This record gives sequence, structure tokens and C-alpha cells, in this order.
Amino acid sequence: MFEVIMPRLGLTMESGIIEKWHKKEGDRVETGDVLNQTGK
Amino acid sequence: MKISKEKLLELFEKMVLIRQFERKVYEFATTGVVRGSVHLCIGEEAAAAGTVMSMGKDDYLLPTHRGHGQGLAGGTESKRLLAEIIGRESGLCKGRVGSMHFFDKENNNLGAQGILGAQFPIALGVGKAIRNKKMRSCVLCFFGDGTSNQGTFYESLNIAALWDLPIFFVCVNNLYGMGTHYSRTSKVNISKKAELFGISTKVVDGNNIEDVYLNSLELIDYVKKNSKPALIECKTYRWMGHSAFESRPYRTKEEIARWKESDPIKNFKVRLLDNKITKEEIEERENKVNEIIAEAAEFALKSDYPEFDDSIIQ
Repeated sequence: MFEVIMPRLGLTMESGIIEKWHKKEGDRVETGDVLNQTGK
Repeated sequence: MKISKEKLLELFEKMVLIRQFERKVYEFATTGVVRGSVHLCIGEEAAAAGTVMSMGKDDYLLPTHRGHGQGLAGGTESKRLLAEIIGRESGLCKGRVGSMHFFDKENNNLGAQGILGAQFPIALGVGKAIRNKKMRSCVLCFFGDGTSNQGTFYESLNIAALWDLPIFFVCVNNLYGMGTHYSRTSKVNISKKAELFGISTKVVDGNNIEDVYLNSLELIDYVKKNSKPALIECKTYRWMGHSAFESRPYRTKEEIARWKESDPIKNFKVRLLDNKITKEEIEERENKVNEIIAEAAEFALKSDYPEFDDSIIQ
């Protein structure tokens, strides 16, 4: 399985909460696609 | 003057390389591979490639803090610059200086500047050295719209004009100095500031690479023939934040979308097709760039971190 690392949204960010998923498990994704919405 | 087909493809390839390189840096920055801040030039590829690719082999380059594209356009190898940005021993400067201070002696790149405005007095020194040595060269001094409000800009324009120094000032006007729109920082257009000192200027569509390239060729020729400074202002737009970590709250979504319509790469592709260049020829270049970037990423990630000898620090 491909591992996706949660992007850092700031220099000091250490963790984030995934608020909404835009893709389901098994969906095909391309570079640049929105996977989820992250909050602090 | 007409640009040859080969040159058009070369300009295209370089712009694609710059964009893909910056996307990789963004990926590295947001996944914690890059330590510290990086400034990306996505959207400004034509201003970087069009000016730098009109340089002669004996000309010098002084890039800005947003200088990866300027360095790549000058011939710096992607893998060595990427390794430098992520602090590896195999980097351009042995991983010691990172994104904002890289230099490349082989390609006459005298070093990017982390201090905005510091490049102007340095350019004066380079220009004076070129004159003293009676070389037929010039130095390209890059800066942004925000930096044109620094005192060093005016002082250096004055001396450059007074001493007839062969400096080609290149303004990448991306409208914002960090988060502040240019109109909130000055009432005077950047080119007008140079004209005050009797310096020849041109304002070009910074998202049209043919426009940037042809005008740069002409101005560089003028600078070297007459040993006089000149300035080009490339009007463009920064797609990303000031640094990779920034949510760009000072610009509307509509404004960003409008500028993305004048994407320097997408629009150039349309003009290439009109110029009897085939879809296959374009794809060939795009695939080549994808390979270069994939290899560069692998090379950089596999490289070791430098080992610091304490005796040097003491």
C-alpha cells in the first residue's frame, strides 16, 4: 500500500486533524489531487 | 528576430523543469524532508528562464531568495541543487547553505541572497570588476517588486549609472512583497525608478517567454556594447505563498484563478503547436523533465548528510 504523509502546513506544525476525506480507499489518484481536508 | 524551433523547445523544457523541480521541493518541504523555509517560483518560470537563457557564457548571475528557477535556467544541475536544498553532502555547496545561499561557480552563479537588497551593492562590485578587467561581460542582478523599495536599490542605481557599469537589473514583479501588494508600498512604477537615473528600461509581459527572451537579448547586448546598466521589469505572479508554508490569506481566490489563466507554460504550449511544433515533440520534453526530476529526487534522498568536524567550528 502507498504511504501518504500528512503535509505540514506550517514550520511548527506537529499534528493535524483530518476533517473530511475527498477520496475513498481504492480510488485512483493523480499527483496534485485533493485527498482530504486537514485542520489544526 | 525569430526564435529557432530548437530554442523554443529549449525554453519550454527549461520552464517545465523549473515547475517540476519546485513541485518536488514543495513536496519535500511539506513532508519534512526540507528543514526550514523555501521560496518557490511556480508561475514565474518565464521570467526566470527567458532572462537567464539570454545570458552569454561569460556573464554572471546573482539570483534572489526565490532563486531555484534562476539557478536552473543558468545550467545548474537539478540533482545537485535538490541535494543542497535538503542539506546533503552531494549538494551544490556540500549541503552547507541550502535554498537561500547556493552558488555555482561552474555556471557563473555568484550566489543567491537571503537578505533582500543585498544583491545590489554586490552587483556594483561585479560590474566594477568586469570594467577593470576590460571583459565583455555583464552581471544579471535579480530582485522583486518589494525589494525595489530598499535604499540599496536607489544607491546602487545611482552608482551603476554614474560609473557606467555593465549591470542588467532584472525585476521579477510578482505583485506582492511577502503579503503586501505593490500598490500599498510605492506610487512609482519600478521601471520609472531606474529611468530617474538615466537607465534604459523595458517593461514586458513576464508570463510570455518569447517577450522576455527577445527583450533580454536586446538589453544584454546593449549593456555589453555600451558598458551601461539596463533594467527589465517582468510582470508576473507568484502562484504559491511567500514561502512554502503560507495559506495566502491576503489574496482572493478569484485573483489567483485569473492569473493562473495566464500560465506561462500552458499558454506557451498552445503557441508552440501553432508554430508547427508537434504534440509528440512537446511530450518528449515533458517526459525527459519527469525523468530528470525523479532521478534528482532519488539521488538527493539517497545522499548522506554532511559530517561536521568540531575542530572547524571552534
